[in-house]
Amino acid sequence: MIVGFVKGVGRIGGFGVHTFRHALTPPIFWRQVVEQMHNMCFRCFIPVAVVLAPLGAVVSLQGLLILRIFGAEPLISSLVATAVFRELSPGLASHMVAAQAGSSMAAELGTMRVKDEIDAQEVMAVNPFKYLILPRLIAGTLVTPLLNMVGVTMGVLGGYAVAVGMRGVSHGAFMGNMYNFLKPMDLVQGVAKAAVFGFIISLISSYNGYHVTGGAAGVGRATNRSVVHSILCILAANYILSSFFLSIT
Amino acid sequence: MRALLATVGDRTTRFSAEVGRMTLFLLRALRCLLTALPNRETLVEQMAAIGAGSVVVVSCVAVFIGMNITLQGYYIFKQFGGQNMVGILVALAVVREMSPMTAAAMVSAKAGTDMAAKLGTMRVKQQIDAIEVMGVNPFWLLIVPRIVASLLMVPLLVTLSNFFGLISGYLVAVYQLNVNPGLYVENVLQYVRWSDLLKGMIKGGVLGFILSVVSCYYGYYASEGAKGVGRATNRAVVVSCVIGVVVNYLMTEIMYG
Repeated sequence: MIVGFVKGVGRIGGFGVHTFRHALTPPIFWRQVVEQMHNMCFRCFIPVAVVLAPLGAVVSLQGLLILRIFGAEPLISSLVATAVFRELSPGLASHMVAAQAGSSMAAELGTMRVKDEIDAQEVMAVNPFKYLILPRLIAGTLVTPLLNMVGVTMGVLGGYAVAVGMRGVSHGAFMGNMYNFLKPMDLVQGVAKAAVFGFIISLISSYNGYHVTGGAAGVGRATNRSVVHSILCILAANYILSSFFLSIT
Repeated sequence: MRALLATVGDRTTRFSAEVGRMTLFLLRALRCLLTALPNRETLVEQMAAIGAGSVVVVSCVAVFIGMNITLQGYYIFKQFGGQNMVGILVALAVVREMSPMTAAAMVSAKAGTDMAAKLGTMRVKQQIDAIEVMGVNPFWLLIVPRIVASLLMVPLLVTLSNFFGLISGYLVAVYQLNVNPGLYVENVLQYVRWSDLLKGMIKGGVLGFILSVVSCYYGYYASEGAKGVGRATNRAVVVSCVIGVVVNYLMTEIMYG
């Protein structure tokens, strides 16, 4: 099992290096990149927005209960903003990207593999790494930070709706305390994290999709594995990145 | 303008049709659940698949979540000079919110997609039709056992996740950040109540119910071969995450609000 694990990691690494080598030599199919970006944005926009708003609301609800112990309810916006900007939005937006775009990436590539379309492309001298995988990697790395912005906005709005709309924190206190602990660095941190996560998601998903075997069942298995593995890797990377960013600020 | 209205109308119709179909699916499953005991073999098999199959993933995720909350909480509490109180934040965040949500999310990513893929493959290969032809109710044989299994197993995974989240929080707090170990334990024990643990398990059960119904639904209605199975697994994760988060907010509002 350990040998299998190490082998798998090595093969994903080799896959990444192989793709990276194709990134350095022209041509890069920018048309495909734009198409993938458009696809990912449209597919993930609603899930990210819909998931982050209730989460911001929950943070606000639970945070008010904790802050009430100290009598510091007006500080709720600091808590919501810090939590959403630093952790929740990069983490959860990428979680949704993994669930939505990553799994459909694996499913698409897997279906193409099962139907021998990838082999057909190779026969026609179209390099699948250049034409299929590199555009997805670039698109994932660029789009996830954008979706992170959507997530941040929706999360803070959700928190605002609960704190101001339902729990009677005043609008002025909420807006005034929002930037108490936030620094520009936090935004940069969130965006950098999201970009790394996007890269991880698209790498793992395209790897799993590219190496599908065994028909419809295999495609299902590949999408399953790509979601689980990307989320695990995201969380591990998240801890390392958080440690790094918190220690330099 | 007209095209836009047409698209909006079309989307709305399809959305309502989907909601209706899912409700009917849920009602059929409930009727089957209430009138007959689910198939025992599938039930045991699914309990093993959902419970034992997700143990590693859920505990890994819980470890990282606990570490992260501790790290972030430490730097926030430090600004007030209260870094030794970080245990309060870790305890409440992990036990009340993060454990139920992440356990359910990981079960949905692992077991939920698996349900959708299995049922989808069976549907595409017309095995479900074959089961119906043999006079066996596919809800009794395939779907209700999955729903019951995840309803039973997710709360247990939530408890496991609590354990790993708090332990990893302790390790990070004490060994990486030099928080007083006695104070961490004291804060955790003081601020976590039995009712919090119980509420977390109830949340986990409800989320497990939702994710299994949604995943089975998308698998049961899969079509169009390999592509359709891929789409079903995709939909299963996303939709159960979205519904789960919204329902989680409502439960928090009812339980703690």
